[in-house]
Amino acid sequence: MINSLFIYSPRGDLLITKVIKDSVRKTSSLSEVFRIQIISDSSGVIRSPILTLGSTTFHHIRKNKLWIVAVTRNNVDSALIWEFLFRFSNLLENFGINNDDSVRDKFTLVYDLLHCILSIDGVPYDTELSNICSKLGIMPVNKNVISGSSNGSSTADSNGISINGSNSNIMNSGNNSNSSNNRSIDDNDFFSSLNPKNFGKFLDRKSNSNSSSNTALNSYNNTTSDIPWRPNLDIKYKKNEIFLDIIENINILISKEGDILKSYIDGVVEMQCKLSGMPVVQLKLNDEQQQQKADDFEHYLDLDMKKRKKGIPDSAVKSVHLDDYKFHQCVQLNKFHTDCSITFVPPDGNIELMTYHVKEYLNLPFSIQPIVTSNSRTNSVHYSISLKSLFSSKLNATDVVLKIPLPQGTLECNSKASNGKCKYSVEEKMFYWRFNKFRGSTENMLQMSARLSENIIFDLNKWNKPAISLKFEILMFTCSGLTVKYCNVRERSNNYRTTKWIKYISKAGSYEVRY
Amino acid sequence: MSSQAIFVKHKASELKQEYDPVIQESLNIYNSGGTIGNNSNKKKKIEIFLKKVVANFTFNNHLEMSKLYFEVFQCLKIFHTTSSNNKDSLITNLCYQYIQQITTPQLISQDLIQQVLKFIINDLYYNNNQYFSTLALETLCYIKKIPEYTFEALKYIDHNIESESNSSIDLIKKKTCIEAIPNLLIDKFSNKEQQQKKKIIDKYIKLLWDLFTNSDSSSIRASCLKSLQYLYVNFEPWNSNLQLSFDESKKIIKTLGNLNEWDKSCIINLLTLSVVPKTHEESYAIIDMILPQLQASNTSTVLQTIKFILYLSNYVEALSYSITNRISNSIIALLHKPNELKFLVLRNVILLLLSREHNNSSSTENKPRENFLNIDISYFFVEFDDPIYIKDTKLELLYLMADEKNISIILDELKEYAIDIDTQMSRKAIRAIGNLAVKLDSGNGKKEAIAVLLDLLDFCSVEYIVQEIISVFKNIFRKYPNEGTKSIISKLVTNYIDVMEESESKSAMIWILTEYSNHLPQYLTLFDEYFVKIFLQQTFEVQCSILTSAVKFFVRDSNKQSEEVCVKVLKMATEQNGNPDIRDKSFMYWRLLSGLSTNQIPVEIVKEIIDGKLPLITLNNKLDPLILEELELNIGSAASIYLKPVQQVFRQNKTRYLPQSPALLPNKTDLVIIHDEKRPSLLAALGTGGINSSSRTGSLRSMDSGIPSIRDRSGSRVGSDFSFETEFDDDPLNNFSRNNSFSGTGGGSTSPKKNISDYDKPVENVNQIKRKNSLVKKPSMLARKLTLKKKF
Repeated sequence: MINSLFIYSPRGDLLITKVIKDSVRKTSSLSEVFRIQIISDSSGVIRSPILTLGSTTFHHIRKNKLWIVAVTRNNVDSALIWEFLFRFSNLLENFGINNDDSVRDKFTLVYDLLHCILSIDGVPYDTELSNICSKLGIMPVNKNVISGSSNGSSTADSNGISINGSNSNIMNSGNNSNSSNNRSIDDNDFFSSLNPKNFGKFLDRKSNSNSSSNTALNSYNNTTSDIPWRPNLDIKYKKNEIFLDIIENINILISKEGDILKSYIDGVVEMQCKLSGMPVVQLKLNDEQQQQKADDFEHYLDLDMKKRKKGIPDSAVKSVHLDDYKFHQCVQLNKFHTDCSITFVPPDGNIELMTYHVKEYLNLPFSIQPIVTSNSRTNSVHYSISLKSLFSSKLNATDVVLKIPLPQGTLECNSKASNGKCKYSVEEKMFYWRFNKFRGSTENMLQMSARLSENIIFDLNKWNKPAISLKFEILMFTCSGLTVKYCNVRERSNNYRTTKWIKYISKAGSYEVRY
Repeated sequence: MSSQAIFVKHKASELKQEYDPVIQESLNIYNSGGTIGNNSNKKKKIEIFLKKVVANFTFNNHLEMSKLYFEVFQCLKIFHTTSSNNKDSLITNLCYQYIQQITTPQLISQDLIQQVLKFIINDLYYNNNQYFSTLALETLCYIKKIPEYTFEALKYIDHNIESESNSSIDLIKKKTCIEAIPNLLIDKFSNKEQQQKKKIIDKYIKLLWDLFTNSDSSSIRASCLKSLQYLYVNFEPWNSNLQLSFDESKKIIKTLGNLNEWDKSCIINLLTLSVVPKTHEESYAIIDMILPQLQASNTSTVLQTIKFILYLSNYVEALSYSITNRISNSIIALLHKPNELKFLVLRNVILLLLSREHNNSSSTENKPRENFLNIDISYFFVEFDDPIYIKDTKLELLYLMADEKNISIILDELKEYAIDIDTQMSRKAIRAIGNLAVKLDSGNGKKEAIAVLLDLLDFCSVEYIVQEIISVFKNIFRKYPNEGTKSIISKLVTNYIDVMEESESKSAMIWILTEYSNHLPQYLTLFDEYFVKIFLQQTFEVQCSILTSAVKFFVRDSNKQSEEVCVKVLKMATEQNGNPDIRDKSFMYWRLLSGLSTNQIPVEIVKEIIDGKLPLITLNNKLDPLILEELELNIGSAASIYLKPVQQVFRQNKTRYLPQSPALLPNKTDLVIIHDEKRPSLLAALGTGGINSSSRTGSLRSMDSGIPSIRDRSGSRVGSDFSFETEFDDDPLNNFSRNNSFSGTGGGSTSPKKNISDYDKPVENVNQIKRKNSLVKKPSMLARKLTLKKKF
């Protein structure tokens, strides 16, 4: 599928050429074509992420300013190619390769990596971080990059996920690195973990759970149940831990009249697993689809009608309507389809377990009410803004920043605020109102007037008025109201105890108000 | 050694000179059975040597580097993993890297090739390390020009596939082997006779089918399918897709859950067209089974699933609304992917809109048709940080999705873009508004669009905006000649006639001036002043327009002034102009007019020729249904981005057609989307809420204790499953009022406008702005600070 793959430095120097199907000579001329057509042509603006010349197609992405390019023939599945390129770039980051110097430094690793993740035919083979680590016998440098994700939102926020355990116990104990650069591919012993008998019928928990793992392992037939994302059964942790982070990005656009033009939440459930053996995790959310399955449908049909008539506010809705979910490959989709339980054998380490999307019934955490007037006599614009937090007073929002764009030709700003810090940035023509901490159920006011340069005739009605935007982060609050009902980890061994950590974070995606 | 030094273009002789002694020394130690230490200088030097060689590939320096083949091979021998004393994986790896790229019969001597081959074969069979055995196989596959290599690779594959062992390593090996088959066969038989070729391919097809039916491992089966598909498509006499029976496909779909994401996506991809449902029931059964895959996080899997469902929907009569709704929702969820993938998804939404959306105005039936996609337009509002390609696609989508119901929202949004700082964007937005006016010919759409354009004209007098608006107005008048009222025309022309710079807007202005000259008393003076005088400096298009208009004015109203202008233009066009087209055109006019003056041609005919009625324009953005059908079978592929027939973009690809079957719908538009009586998800939501509303206060109270315990991840939360479950039973985060009114549908575009004030509620603390900015803190504040400190 992929004929060859290139990595270029930001300046356009070719760093990596992986030839897969074409001849060497042809590939090198193609790399030149791409450099001329795209890199030297684009002055910072990418017109299209895909270029087709004849029957050759270049799919390219930019990550950390590096150009990663896949060359293909004929009509290929573009989704697959791009998805693969993003996974690949995430893997590179996992191994600390994030600029042209580090690519040059570790270029042998890049080739090894490509060998592992692409099949002979150039089709993506396996991109699960934990698998690659065990294949190559190396440790990821940067574990905060979520391996399973190709999402734009960077989630390298380690706040609260303090990793207590040592990193080294991910690999099985038999794998001792004997070469200077921490590589140990050459030994048979790491395959001892890939031994056939290590593949378990993971869902078969009735099997004899003797204390000795060997007898347990012998008790199933070794022909089925291959789990591509957790081939290694011998993972051992002193303490079994599972971390769930529920991170929501809320996007709102409010018009001049206060109409909500756009409102949705992109949520992601990130998980870090430090679990021994072959655990099966079951997760239940307060999502209505999951709840509804258990309940009698007809009964609610009546209730629904009543409720609408009486106009009971839907704050009483206990469950959340998730408009869509996307799951990591480890989740058993068929099982989710039949009984709506999220069941999976997790890969080791960090993954993005699930992403979801909500567009109705959001908890808006903030309301912004701007009143903007202009005074032609003093040639100034006057802003009066009230910022109200609508969440419980028990919670605090942190890093709250209100960004107010000012017209061109603003000379100075005079502001009075009931709280928070004010700053005017001359270069950006932007006024910042900052709070380190914003309590729930609180209203704050800002009075600000911007004086314009005299030679500008300002007309408020003719100014294009870029939207006022807000940034914030609230811990232990979800805009959708999503919560984890329970999270159950089971394993064949008897004394399997797991510690679970859950964190909810709501963040502003684009939270904008026009005026 | 620093990385910079490695990434330098070298000559083979330089490297040879520098490193040959080290290699020789090492070779001696190796031959005498000695050991080269892990950290010894020699080893490091050899490492650097190989790194330099491989790094040189990126400088297109292959020819030069091929001279070092022997040296590299020596290194491989010394440090190979099978050698007892000096195994080093990094060096082995680099050597293989080199061999893969360099081994060609033209550059390397036959003798050396044979030696290397022996070595590789040894690795294939006797290296217990799976990494290196696949590397060896890969190397054999890459080196296609040498028949011995291919032969050995096939031999190994036969050996491996037939082995009964089912251990995990063997499974991975087997998988690699299966996937290597088509790659090897493609090149091997390019110049052998048909007979022999067919025999060998038949053998492998049989082998793969056997494996497919007998294997227990789903990933092995997946690999078999992939290889089979490849062989069927690329070889005679088949040259067609793999065909799967209903039972086989059911079996495959059932085990999709055991595949990794890439295999999954490839398999769903090949299922399209390979499965041909015989009846509607079969089709429904498969759709039901494949639906869960829409929830995968891999974009490719989701798009392939959508493709498969759409393909199957050609073999059913009706689809449930819940299915189309799920497709829409899963598309929406893909819109938070990185830009490149988002772009692909948006392009495919365009495709679906074109192929599946029913044109409401043209449907003769009274039944309201459900749209296939149900996506709120707000997802296609442009964000300021979108790259250009996404902005353009979103604009196109807004245009396509506009109808009488949402036109005002879309126009408001487009108006915002029109005053954007980005000039390209604002031009495109104005274009879109104009096109919308032309598109929505019934109802208020056009009126609103024209109003917005006039508004914009008042709003900003930036040149490019004005010019763009004038060009757009020309199209609008071509569609609705009656919209050109006196007030609008006089406003457009008198205010902005001097602003026109670009040739398109100039031509548009001339056209408007000519067409509506009856609204303008001074039209000839204006025309003379602004266009005729500078005739010679104009571009070709503008000159054409001026010429045509001058003649039109004269024919319409022959008086002295118009004659003067007309003759002036004709003279300039014939005598001073260098463009033959303009010259010919003006001669033609001249001839016509002189025929008029000598009464050879009646006036009516001349008028008809020169100033005839123009046909109304229509916007046609529909694609041929056949092309759409083909594109639907290529969802998610590169062709779906270009929205062109596959063969137009990629000549070697074959056009895909829907296979015939008794269940095939004669016409795509016959597909009916049925609203389910029950809308399970939503009703359940309301239901649960209803039941719990009485106990709501209770859970509110209990949350007071709930929140802090979850909030901190300190040791106190460490506990067993049991305590965990109970805690999360009352959801502490749900106690925020949701005041927005019910819209009735579970997330569709039908929800009424919500207002921010619906969410408003009184707050506990209101911080007022203090009159004075005093630096002194209140005593109460200080006290609070102190108490806080105490706590810690």
